[in-house]
Amino acid sequence: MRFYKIKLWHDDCIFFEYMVKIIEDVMDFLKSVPPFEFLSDEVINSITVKTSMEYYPKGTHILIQDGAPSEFLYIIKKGGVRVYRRVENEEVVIDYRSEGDTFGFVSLMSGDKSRANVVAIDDTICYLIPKETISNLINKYPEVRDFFLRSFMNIYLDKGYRDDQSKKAITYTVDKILFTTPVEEIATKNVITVTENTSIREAAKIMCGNSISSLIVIDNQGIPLGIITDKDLRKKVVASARNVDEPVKNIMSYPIIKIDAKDFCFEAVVRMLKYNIHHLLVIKNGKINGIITNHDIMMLQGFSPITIVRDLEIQQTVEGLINATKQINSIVGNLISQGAKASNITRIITEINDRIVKKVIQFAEREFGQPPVPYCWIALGSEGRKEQTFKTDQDNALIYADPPQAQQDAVQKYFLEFTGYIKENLLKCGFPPCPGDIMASNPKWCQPLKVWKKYFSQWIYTPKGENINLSNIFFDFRGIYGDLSLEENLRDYLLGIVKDQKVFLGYLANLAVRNKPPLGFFKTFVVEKSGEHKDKLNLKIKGIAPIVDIIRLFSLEKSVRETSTLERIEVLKNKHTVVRDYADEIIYAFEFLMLLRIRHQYEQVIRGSMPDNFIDPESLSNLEKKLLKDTFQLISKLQDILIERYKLMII
Amino acid sequence: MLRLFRKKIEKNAISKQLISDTDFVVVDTELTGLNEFKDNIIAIGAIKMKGRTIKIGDVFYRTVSPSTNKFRKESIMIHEITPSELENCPKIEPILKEFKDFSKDCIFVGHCVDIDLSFLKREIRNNLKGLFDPLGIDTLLIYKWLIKKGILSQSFLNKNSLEDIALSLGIEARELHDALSDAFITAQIFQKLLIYLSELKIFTVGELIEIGSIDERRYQTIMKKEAYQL
Repeated sequence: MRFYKIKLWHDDCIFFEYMVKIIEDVMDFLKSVPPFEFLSDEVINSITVKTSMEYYPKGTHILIQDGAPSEFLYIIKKGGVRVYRRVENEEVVIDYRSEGDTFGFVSLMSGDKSRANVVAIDDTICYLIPKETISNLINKYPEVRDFFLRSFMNIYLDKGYRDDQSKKAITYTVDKILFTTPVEEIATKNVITVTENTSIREAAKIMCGNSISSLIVIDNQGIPLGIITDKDLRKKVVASARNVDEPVKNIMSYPIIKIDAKDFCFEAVVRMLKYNIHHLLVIKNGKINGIITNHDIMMLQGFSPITIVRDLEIQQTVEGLINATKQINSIVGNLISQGAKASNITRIITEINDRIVKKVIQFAEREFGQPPVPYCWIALGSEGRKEQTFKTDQDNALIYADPPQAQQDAVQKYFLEFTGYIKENLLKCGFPPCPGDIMASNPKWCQPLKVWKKYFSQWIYTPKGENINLSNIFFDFRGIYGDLSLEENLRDYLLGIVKDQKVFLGYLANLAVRNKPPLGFFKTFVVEKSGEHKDKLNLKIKGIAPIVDIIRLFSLEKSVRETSTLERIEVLKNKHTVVRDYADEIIYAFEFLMLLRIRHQYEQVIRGSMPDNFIDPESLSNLEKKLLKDTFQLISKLQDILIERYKLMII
Repeated sequence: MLRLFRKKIEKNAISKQLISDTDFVVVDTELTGLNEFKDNIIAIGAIKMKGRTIKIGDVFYRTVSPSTNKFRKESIMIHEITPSELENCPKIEPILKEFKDFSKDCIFVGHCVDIDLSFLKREIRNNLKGLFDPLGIDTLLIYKWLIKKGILSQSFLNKNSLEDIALSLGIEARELHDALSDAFITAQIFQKLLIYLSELKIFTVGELIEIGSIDERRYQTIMKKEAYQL
């Protein structure tokens, strides 16, 4: 209540202009939220007057999985929510949404029970738009309809409509479907099994009779042994003129890779990529439930990362590879907009990059003939840790088996030509050379096993300056191609000598606490003070690197063989007390930082600029700022623990 | 007497009703001053709620032509508004009628709502025929009650102005100016206070009236309000 003895008259005569100030504020907000941004003021106004506003204290469950269908489209005005599903007592986070994001649409439109839980992770204010208003918009405005249908995909709608829409799906970029659809929803349920001794002829008849493209082969206990697909019939029977009276076990593909019915489709994609197959057996409660194929996933979302892998596999020239690699950005963009976790995105990028590298190495073998001794191509740094985001510098090296004395020079000569070719061709595929020349084409980093052992022991026993930096890069090495036993051998050696080297580990600890996260971030903005990146935050140095360094240190201490930070954490959970206590928080923080980085770099790539690690804190949403703050606090806590543990060593 | 009796019956009927099913109108008036006899309403702002839900589209905002000469003179002197300009401002009768329709069947809610109600009642009595004696819930009383219960921090005890209370509850109050914006802020305060009440298992209108109704305490509160200088 105010008393305007003086001021009011002036306002009074213009009251028409501000009488709907509240409504104008909501309109302004809606105008910044897709799909409302496409609509005219008049239409937005008509939506606004139907809108209501709710407040949910932190921790409130706004929608409940399998609960009543949503009656509203919720738009977050302030705060944030976590969307998650509970699958067999495990919480699977689907997404975090913050200011300007919406939720409740799928259940709203389908009238089905809510598919997920939505919980406020901060005090949250939402605008609620009633179902009827949204339905009217969808009927009247194609741009609104397209937006929502794109966003939430069409499996929720009736099938006729879905078929019609799926043709367009290829251009859609905002579906989160891979991460929200359990395998069983799209798997083919019509699974027919045959025993291993069934004849090929009989099997083919069954396939034709049932119009299916695959059969599961079981043994007499009913345990699945393998699978026969159309492809097997074409390649192994017709093309090689095999006798059709032979048993199917002679032509089946095996082993058969399984997936749980409750797993999300993304997991299916990863498995298909990993094993280079197109069929997975879906298992529910220990029994065969169905088959899921690459085709099912294509149908689901109109594109599949598996397709690019197939594209890469068939290329016979570097030029062909270059064309195929052009799809990577759009795949990453898709994954980002689907709300993929950072680790899922880097898994896909790693799979794809590894294949490109392997392919180039195969071309080199074709070019230079079989190598004189076995060798192993290793990736270093972030590539070794499987944490590459957008195309980064080449960081690699080559280990070859110790050659007989007399052949040393010839062998070295072969491998230098070999690695020089690989370097040039990786460059053509978009991997720039390492500025520090840490590449297999550098004679120093193209060495027989015994020299590598000498390097490693030198670095560990005389941990000075450059040696420590090299350790940090090289000790994340991962075998990509060739004789992987060489890599195993070197790792055994490393883990054997490093674990008791207190001085060396102390140096690593020192390095891991050197970069303090900017704790005063949101008050004082501890960001770059000068230069090109003034007022920006270096995510890599201030956030990602400290976590990577700390986890590497613990891994070397506890002889962990894994190289990726997240995999190391999983193993360290049972080996290291600090990790046991903080594992979930560290994983969460790391995922969050990586995702910020990937999104930032993706935006840069789209704009055509070089990806970097400098983010503008002002560009973050309030929720992101809060999460970033929590992350920095965690890193600082870990660094304090490190200082405590290694206090004698830290200089 | 009769009226009081009638109101009691209404109250009884409504006291079992769930807060979540109840229509509220959150109101704020702008006045020329606090003197119930001399001063006038110059603006009415109101927004409706159903339970905790604020209905963004259900708003009311009108400014009215004041009838006291004193105010006129001051305004003219300070703003150099000519009498003819004043003539363009709308008269109070149709606005009051409109507002009565708007707020029909709602429980009134406001920051020290008794002041707003006493002015509204007087204006309606003077300008319109018919009864106007709605139930009123004072957000300030609920706020103070929650402090007393230990739900809200004791450090809020000295907060009385709408702005301070809004800020203490984390509600943005930068638009505090006209009656509608203030009513909107008050609605958000009421929304949060209802959540605190629901945590104490307070779900019925009867209980809400017990805590926040100004009816019995009208005279003290008016005095109190003068002291707060809102």
